Amino acid sequence: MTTNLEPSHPTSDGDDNRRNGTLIQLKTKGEIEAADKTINVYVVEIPIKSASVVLKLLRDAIPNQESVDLQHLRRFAKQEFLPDHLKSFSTPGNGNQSSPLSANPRTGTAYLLICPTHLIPQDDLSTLLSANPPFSDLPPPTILTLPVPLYSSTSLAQAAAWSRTHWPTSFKNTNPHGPHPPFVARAEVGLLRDGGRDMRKLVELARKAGDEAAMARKGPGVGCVIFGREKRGDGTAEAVAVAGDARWGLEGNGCGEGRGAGNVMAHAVMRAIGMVARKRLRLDGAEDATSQTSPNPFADLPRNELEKTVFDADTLNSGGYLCVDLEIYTTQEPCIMCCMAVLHSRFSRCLFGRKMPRTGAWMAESGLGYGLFWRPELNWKLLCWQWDDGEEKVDAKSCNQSPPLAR
Amino acid sequence: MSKPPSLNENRVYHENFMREAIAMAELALQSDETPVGCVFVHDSKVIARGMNDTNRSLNVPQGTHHAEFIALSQILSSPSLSSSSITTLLNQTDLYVTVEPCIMCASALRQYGIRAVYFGCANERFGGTGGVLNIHSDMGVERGYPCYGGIFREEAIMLLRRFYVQENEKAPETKQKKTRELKTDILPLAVEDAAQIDIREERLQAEA
Repeated sequence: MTTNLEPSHPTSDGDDNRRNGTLIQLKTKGEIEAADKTINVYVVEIPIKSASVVLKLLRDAIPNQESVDLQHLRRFAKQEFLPDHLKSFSTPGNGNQSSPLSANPRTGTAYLLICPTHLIPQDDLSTLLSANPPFSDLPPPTILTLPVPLYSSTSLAQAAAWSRTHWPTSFKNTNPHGPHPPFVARAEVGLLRDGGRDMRKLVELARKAGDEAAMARKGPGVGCVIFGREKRGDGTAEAVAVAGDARWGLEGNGCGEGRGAGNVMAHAVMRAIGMVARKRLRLDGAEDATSQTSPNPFADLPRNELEKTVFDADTLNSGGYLCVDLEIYTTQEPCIMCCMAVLHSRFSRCLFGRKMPRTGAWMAESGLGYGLFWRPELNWKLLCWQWDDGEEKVDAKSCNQSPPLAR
Repeated sequence: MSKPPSLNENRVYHENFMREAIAMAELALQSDETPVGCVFVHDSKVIARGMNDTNRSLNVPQGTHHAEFIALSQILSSPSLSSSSITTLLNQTDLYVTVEPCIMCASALRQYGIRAVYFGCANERFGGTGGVLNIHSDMGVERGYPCYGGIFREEAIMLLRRFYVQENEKAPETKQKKTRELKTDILPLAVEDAAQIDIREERLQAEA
């Protein structure tokens, strides 16, 4: 689902012509794996007036038809709605098993999707149809075997594509492999509040935090903002914590300046999650809310004025648990560690700027392909989008991957 | 980089360090924490110890303070690290942990450049070294690492089960644990699947 966002009316902030951003919903790993899964079904042309007779005949003869859910496919299709390759395969004459659906366009007939082929052998089906009306008075029917999509489509566009390539398909506004589409649509309305300016402010905050850490030679210029909507009560998103990546910022311990992995646990996401915990602790009235060792490898307290301003802001209610109901934006797709930390922390939504095909773990359709935001094996799932405002490009640094470890 | 000690050649060597990891998990259990413990071993010496600290760290829940991170923070705080980089040190360091590292920790360990990982029981809920994903050996930017499981597996499972019958007051919906009984039967590794369902439930509960 893609929602384009252009400011609909001029505003006074001077940059109304600038694109605020576009939400690009990520596909789940399950969606990608299911997208090309098909099942073979029988199709036969029948007179429309015999539809109910044939359906009853099939219902009685093939009792377990419901065992495969094909609700997303049209049961009957008139010839003009068939995919082109099924129409154009037509050859004159009928009755040959290998012949296509129909010789000529006819009125008064439609194509019936009977059932998956594993439910009844074709010969039995042929015998059954031929022995009963209407085919008892007609030439034996031609039974076609076609591959059709096994699972529901997850978008209107996909349903339209399958209707052209396989069989007339409807979009039921469901997604068996990911978040319920209306739920995603509601979330997008919230994210695009105030014409996307809400989101843009947060994105700029994260970018600034990354830039400041980079200028201080503490990190590679990656920033992260955690935000929530619980304090104001009107749906406005407010920053709860902002952090720049500080992997090279641990003093005097050889975590490198500008080189190597450094202190991995000081990635921007880990730091920001740590700051939320500190903030909750402060709300609890704990005396040690902002005490730290030196050095502090978790780097979970503000390290500059920008981070401190957000950390000190009254933007979180007391009594919360981990990062439940909070949302997170990172200037680039987080690494595997950081994505799993987001899951462990029970965030509800995540967004990122730049795709990171070699290290990122949100994307399922490209790169490493983990799609960690929505995996049935894991005990937490969340909504995930790329936020494209034209500023963050796909990471283009050339960097070779290590081959898998020999085992 | 020298090779990590193989599992079969020197079982006693590994068991000694896993005992130390189990001691840390016992300590966690005594402080109402998820009983996962670990030690980092460099040059046949323990250089850091960790226990899970997700529920009580600074008195607020912190879902990412797993045992491995607590121990790594000790290593990173050590003054002796000033002359050599963290990656150089960890390239010569092995981890012993009672439960298979989760996906987050498995990735952190790879990025830090750990030499090898030895664990007790598998973690079919979040495991990052075989339980759910194979972060240690998949294609990736950093070099992968070898991982060996099953050292004192029964003890590691029993620790989790003992925790399962304790209360976790910080969880949003406190489950009724009074009616729970401590199970003591542990299926052998050959029927791992069934046993791991237990671990999965316990780990889920523990992390909740």
